[in-house]
Amino acid sequence: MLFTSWSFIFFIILLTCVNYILPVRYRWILFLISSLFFYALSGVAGLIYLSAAALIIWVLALVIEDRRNKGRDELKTVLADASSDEKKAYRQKIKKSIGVVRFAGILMLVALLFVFKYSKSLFPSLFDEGSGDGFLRFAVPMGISFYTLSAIGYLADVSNNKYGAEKNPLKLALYLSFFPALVQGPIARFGELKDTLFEPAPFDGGKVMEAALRIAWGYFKKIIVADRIAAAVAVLQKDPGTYTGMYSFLLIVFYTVQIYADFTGGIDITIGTAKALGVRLAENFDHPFFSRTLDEYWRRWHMSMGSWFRDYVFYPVSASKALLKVAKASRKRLGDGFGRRLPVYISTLLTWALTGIWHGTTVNFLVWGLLNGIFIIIGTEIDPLSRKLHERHEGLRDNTAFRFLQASRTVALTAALRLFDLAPDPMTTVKRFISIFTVSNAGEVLGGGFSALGLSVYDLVIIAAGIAVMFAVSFMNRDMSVYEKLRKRGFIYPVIAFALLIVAVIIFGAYGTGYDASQFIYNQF
Amino acid sequence: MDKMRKCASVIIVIAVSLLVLYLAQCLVVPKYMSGVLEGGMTREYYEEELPHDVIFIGDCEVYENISPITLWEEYGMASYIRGSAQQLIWQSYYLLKETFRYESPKAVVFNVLSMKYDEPQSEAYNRMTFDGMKPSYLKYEAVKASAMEDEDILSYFFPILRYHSRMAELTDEDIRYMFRRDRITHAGYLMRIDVKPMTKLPMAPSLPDYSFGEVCFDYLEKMRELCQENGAELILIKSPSLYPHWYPEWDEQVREYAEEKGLIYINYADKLDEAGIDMSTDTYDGGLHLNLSGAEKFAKQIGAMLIDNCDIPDRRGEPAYDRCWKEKSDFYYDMIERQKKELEEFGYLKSWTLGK
Amino acid sequence: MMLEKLTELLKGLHPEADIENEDGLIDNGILNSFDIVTIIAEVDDMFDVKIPASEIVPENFNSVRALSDLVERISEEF
Repeated sequence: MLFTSWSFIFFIILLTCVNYILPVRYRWILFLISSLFFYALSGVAGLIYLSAAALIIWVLALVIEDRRNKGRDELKTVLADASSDEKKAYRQKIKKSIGVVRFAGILMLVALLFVFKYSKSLFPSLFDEGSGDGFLRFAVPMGISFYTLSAIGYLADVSNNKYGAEKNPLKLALYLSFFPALVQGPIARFGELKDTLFEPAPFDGGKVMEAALRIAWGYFKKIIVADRIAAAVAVLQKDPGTYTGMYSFLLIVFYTVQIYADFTGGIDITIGTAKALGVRLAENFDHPFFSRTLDEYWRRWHMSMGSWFRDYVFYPVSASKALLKVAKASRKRLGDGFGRRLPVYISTLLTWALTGIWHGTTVNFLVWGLLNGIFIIIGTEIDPLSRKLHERHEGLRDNTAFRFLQASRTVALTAALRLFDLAPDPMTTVKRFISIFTVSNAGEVLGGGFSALGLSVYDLVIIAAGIAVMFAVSFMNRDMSVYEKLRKRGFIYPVIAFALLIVAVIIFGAYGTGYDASQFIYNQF
Repeated sequence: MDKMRKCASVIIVIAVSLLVLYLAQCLVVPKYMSGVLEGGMTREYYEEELPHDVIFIGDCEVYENISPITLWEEYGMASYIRGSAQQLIWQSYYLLKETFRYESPKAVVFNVLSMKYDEPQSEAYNRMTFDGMKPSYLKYEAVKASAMEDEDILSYFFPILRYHSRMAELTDEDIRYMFRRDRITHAGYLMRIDVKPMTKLPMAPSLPDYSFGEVCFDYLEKMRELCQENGAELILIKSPSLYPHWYPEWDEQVREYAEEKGLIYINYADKLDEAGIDMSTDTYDGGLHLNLSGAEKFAKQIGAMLIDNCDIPDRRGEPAYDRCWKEKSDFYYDMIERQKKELEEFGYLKSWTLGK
Repeated sequence: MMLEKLTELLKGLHPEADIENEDGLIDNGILNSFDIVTIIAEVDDMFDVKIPASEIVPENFNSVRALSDLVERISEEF
């Protein structure tokens, strides 16, 4: 079920109504049933793999907890009088066995992800339906990239004793499959989600209105802005040979706007839907285009992903024995300066490589990930210079023009890097980017290029207006949510805003088949 | 009190929003007042004041080839043509069913060309047929039967969902006709006075299979039963257009069906001479459809058949009908003048077509 | 001793901050993930104590005192 469909809207309205009829302790069951239903609509087969993941983490987390508890008991009873060295050794043993279970679980989950997501790209011949050799035939199960990370996180957290293992496998199934977050996140953390998911908030009219407003805002961004640009982007990216120079620049601009509107809009619908049901999901975006550095950008864009890779890859890798050894050696060989930084750079690149791979199955995503890592590293290397600059000019840091410059630079960098999404071959992207500076076709593009991309003046005006509104809203909710600001003015203001958004989406949305007057010409021949 | 105030203000917001959407809808809906007029025909039926004794139903071969004014002048016959662009047989069935809700004609004349289409053809033509139809459960059934794959049925009832993108291309016609429409037909007849003689028609290719689809016979049977239930006689015709080609094999199937069910079936495409129809002066598009002079000739011909076979009253002398049809005649002759003027001035019918 | 060494370490990474008195090193965005990882490597080098990733939480890094307590705790536990 697509977010932008009548059936989804009907589905969530119905669900919200039923939700508040049920007593709190049964509502998670409703969530589970509706999530499984939602999931099943996109292919029942996928449910099997989801169940497998849930089963794996349910069993293994319980095993881990069991071993830990047994270990503790042993220490208290049998080994109470043992020497501290013996105790230490025993603790290590328990830790190791827990680590083995965790490793096995992560391995299984990654294997599942690998088989269903990556094997088609890596071993295309196995899937070759044309030649008849292929015997593997399946679609990527919905949400597997997201729920795999959620599952791994849960297992890691339990093995680190962050919280107790969940005894009810169905609750874990819900954790992995909660439908609002299934398609594009945010990536859930069991510790954050369990209270709100299994004991959602009671009915609160204000919260439901806030949720409705948020959902409407999401639709506004997706249907009016993102979907309008989508066709143009599709045309621009399809033919890198023709669409060069100014077209490439347009592609960067349009694609950035499209992804922003589509992704943040989708997340608004996600968080809004959860909120309407009384469940609190974590934010995934925090004014990303206001970021001053690339590093800051990744703490504001797709936040649940950034923090997941930081907590479950970057830190563990950095704190691992292997890397600490490297750190010691590197400090010895390369000195206190670069020698200290090198190990961090190694784990940074490794983390970003994995981030890239997670994003997509083709090489371009790996390149994208590594480039992000490299630019972050460059940023760190430049840091001493920038510090000197700020020492010399004290007011610079808070100067509005300077901040604008920094933000523009970050937006430009991330927008350019995002180009790698659009072609499976990294060289195509590089060529495309370079052509911006080597091909001069600005006149042609600004003359009639837009209509060739299917964008009329009307469309461009709407897109510009949409961007202005998105910017205004983003600016307005820096300190307080727009809903709260409206509510303060009066009960009716959020309702008016909601109505405005819905009416705008219906009238200005880029949905349905367009009106092609030529189709209406009645002709016989 | 506070709760009441809150409720009231919410209701006001909803009402205003619906009003805005309604106005936007009136603005963007295609008006069919120029260029492509065909979409505006279905809605004109509801403006008729007096019942009709004959209903013609079918595609362009009925709404272009018959003049109801001539039928009135020659026979005092009160008729209406419920036609639409490329009207498919299930659309004819549902439009006919709707018609029977409003009146009980003595005869229903159906052009059988649409038997050749056994599946939905075009979303645009579906729109033109149904945009003017009043909302009802019948409309829902009709739309469902006609819908192409992926068609959004909801948008037939809330046209703003289909036409909102026209916001980008509004013309002053859209503003002028936001709340009203001009009349474009004469009891369902779409007038063309220009002439384009028939020269050579394309060769009719031989088909692999001439049998009509099951679904077409189903709907034909349904129409027959519908007419029987409502006390109307169903008459099948093949209108005197020479293209698209009406194959003898098709003719045979309809003839068989008519014989079996005791219906009249006449192939007028074979009887042009009888009516005096001359394809060098009586057609406006080289033989596909008749122009005004052709439509008047065919009306005389088919009117005579109807008088002979059915009990159609002559309504001349009834004051209400005289008044009503005088008004229609005036409009008819007025349009003839207007079309003549345009032909003189521009060489083609500017307001009634898309161009030369 | 440990506290002083750690204070020195943190000052080296961020001379502009008031390390001795600051109790929001993480919450106020003074230390970023780079810094944390550097600290872990340094702590391993200086005190032969391995801070596990599971201990990388704001509470342990928000002030130099909290960090010192963490290092002591780990070195005594094992």
